[in-house]
Amino acid sequence: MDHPYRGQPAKAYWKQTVTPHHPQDVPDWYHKRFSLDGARIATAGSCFAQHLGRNLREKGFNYLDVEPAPPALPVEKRRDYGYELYSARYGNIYTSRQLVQLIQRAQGEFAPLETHWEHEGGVVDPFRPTIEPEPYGSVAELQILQKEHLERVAEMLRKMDVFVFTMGMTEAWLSLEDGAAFPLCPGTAGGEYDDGKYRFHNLNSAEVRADMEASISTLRAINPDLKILLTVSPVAIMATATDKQVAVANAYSKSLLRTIAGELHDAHDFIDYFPSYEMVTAPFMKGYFLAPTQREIVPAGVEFVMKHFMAQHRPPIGAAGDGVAGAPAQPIKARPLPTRPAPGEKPAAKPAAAEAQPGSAEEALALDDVKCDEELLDAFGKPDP
Amino acid sequence: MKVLIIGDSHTGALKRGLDKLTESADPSVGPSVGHDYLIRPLGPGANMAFPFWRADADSIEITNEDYHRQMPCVPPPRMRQPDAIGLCMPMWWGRSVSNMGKARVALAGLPSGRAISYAVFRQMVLADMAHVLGLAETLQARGFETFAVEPPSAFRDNRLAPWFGMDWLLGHIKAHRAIMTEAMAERGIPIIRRPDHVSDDEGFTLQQYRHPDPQDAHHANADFGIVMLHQIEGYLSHAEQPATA
Repeated sequence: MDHPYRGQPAKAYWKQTVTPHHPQDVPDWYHKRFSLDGARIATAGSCFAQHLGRNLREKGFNYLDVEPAPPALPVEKRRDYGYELYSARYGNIYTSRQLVQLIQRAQGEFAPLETHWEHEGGVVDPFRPTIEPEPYGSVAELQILQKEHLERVAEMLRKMDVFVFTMGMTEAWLSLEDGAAFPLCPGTAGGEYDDGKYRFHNLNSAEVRADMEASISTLRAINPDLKILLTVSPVAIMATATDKQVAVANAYSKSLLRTIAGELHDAHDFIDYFPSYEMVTAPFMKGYFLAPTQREIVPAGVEFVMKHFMAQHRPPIGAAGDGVAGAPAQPIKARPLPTRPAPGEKPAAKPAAAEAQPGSAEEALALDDVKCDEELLDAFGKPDP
Repeated sequence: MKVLIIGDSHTGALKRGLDKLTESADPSVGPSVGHDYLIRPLGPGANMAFPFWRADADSIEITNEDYHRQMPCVPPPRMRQPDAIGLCMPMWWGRSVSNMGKARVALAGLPSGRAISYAVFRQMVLADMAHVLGLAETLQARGFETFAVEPPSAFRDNRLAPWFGMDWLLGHIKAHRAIMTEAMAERGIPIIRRPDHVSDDEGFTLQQYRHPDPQDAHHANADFGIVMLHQIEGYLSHAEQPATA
């Protein structure tokens, strides 16, 4: 007797796909729904999204970074200051409510009443309180940087062809005044917790679905061809504000987000789902990729996940960004100085550039170096014997 | 007192000033200096943002090839035992300001670039000056009386001003000065300041101290060097006075 299962491929059967294989050799995790070739890709979301973004950037995809680090900021400091984590410096976006409100703020459709939190003698941005390790010196500085940031986010929304979003959790801290969603509980990294101003809310499935649909609708209004790639972070929540045990609360968050991601994938043909969550947390993986904390993912786990991602989305060969996006800013390197005359030799004629007024900012920036060399030759002549 | 002054191209004004004071019979040039000075450059400041020296138990070797040709070690053979060493490099704002221009960024509140925080700028400045600060610390730790000498602020016809604006330029110079002042204070290293009278109300160095080459819009002249040498003399005289109970 025929029935629908008969026509299913091997990957549909546990006994053929999971049972006979070593967990790390289980095949067919993911088949892409659309290509990333040539697409300008932006990333956002919970912390696991940082790995995706870094890999996309390093592998030469056309990765969008609208707030690149100044090259003179040391590479080892950049992530501490919120650079090169995501396509803009929004920090971690844990909840669907944060995402929809970030889009609204960037579009000028929502201006939260809460403008700053005081912290350690300065102020922090309530919507990215840990984006820099030190607080800003003044509210004015914060407001300028916040405005700049939201303008860049708006730029990102206009430019991106593919938006990769990693869903993190459902537990949110909201303003009682206007519903603004904060990434962290007020009082933990700035501000002061006040029951009269804030409330905890564990988003339910209808709310997450509505937030995501609203985000998708706005994003597709900006770019009707936009494609979206969803993932769910396999990193467990750090703590819960519910009365549940943390692992139980984590299961609620992750299973709800996984469900919504699946629903969105089924509802929209421009949405893909990449199962990084399952690759790490499936029971048969036996927690192999979990750090000793049983929460974070070890580098081998990230590598495993990205191997499956890259198997479907082949990195461009020898590719770099198109100038809008691309590789992180390269650190500044020492450069050879202009040739000096040998002792006793007359200095060469001044470089032509030094005689002319700079015709561009680049020329102006370069000319002073030439002048330094001339000044030394004029003032001191040959090197000290 | 033997005083060694080393640094970037802004040592040129100090050297010209010293030569002018030494050679001129004109009393209006200013009082002559009372110490034995050796003023030598390492080279243009561009490569001071990168490793350019290393210390072992006996000496501090200059490792940057170009700088090494100017001075193989600190102190150099011509003045092995200076009583004081002045560094004309920690307060040079040019590289950091230039880095801001190249990245098209600006401190929050300044025009002409994507805004960055003061804290990010501070990290950029301290990274740029890491090797210079390291040298200052090492000299101090080896018992040399160490101080920093300020270069001129920008001249009004600075080449970057037309492209980035006066406010952009002066704002970053001021911030750089504040950051490095704090860094030097943390290390207990005094700074020989340029006196207020060499600058106008906005903070530009007066044109009378401009380099004689009309194409050179960022180095100062001998007169600025003389002003700074007198500032150094004042500091050293004070430093030489025995402490009173």
